[in-house]
Amino acid sequence: MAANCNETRGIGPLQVFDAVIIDDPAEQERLNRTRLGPEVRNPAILVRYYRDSKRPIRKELEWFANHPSLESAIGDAAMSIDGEGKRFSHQHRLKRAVLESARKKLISSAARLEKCTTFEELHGIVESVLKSVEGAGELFFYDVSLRIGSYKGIFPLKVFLHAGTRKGAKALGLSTQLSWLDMISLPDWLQELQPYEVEDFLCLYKDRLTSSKSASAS
Amino acid sequence: MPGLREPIIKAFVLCEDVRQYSDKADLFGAGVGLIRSGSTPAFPFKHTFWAYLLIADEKPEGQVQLALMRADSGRRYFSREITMRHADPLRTTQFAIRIFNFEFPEPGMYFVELWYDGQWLLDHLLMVEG
Repeated sequence: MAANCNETRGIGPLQVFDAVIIDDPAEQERLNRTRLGPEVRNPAILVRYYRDSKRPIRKELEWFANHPSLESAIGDAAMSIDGEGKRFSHQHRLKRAVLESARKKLISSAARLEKCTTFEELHGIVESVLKSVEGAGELFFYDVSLRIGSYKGIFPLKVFLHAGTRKGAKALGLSTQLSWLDMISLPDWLQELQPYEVEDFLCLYKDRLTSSKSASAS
Repeated sequence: MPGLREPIIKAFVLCEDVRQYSDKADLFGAGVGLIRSGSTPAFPFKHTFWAYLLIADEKPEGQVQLALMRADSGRRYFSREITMRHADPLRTTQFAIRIFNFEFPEPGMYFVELWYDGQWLLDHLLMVEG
């Protein structure tokens, strides 16, 4: 924008309009893909948005940190129940029988989970216990581990990848060959976040990051 | 058109209402930054508010578009483009746009963005609470 505005004199008559929000999803999709917002030049802006917005994950982790016992934390983590008794959105599509089966298996492994001192160890146990549960996948393993980890006060030191976060990581040009990312491999502006927040960020903003990347390339 | 300066944004103000008179306009609730849902259930809810613009542009016209962006996903909801006519290149054009019955799907942080000729220019933070 030019800074000098001294040459304009006076103000014209007021023009009044209604802004009609486009109701065609395909057109909205196209505009979201092609319009270059400030985050394209500076994706760190998205981190500012993320930090300042009400992040459901914060509420989710607080809920598990305040559970009265490990068993109750394991039970609600496996059943994917939030503080209002509703199921977390990530597990909406999982059948109740899958969650029940996971709960029973994890409760029977409570002693092993109790002894974990790192998140990576905890995640490894959850994954090995639940991999035989048909319908449970890597996102479920991670979410359950994070919830139990929150109760125990242990959090990941690296960024775990699943379908959503992989897409976001790819858009940033990060290698997704492994099932995790080291924090050191991330851009500086993303290292401001905790690893579990980066996982959440990449998943939340995957579409924005992907469309920004394709808009920049075209 | 070669030799023309870029447009100058002199004002971009969110407000609750705009009243128009023959010689002036009044902005009510200017600078609104927080909207509370008054409906039950709280979300989704519809709300109407205004954006007031002052733009100087040497071109005869430009395309204004507003977008509401959800900070939690970066997802934008664009309005249709509105043609802003600049009758006199030496005068600033005054524009009031009503964002009518925008449906806020969830509480949280939103940005009302001003796009002009396809370019992002400015945004205003808008917190939406239940």
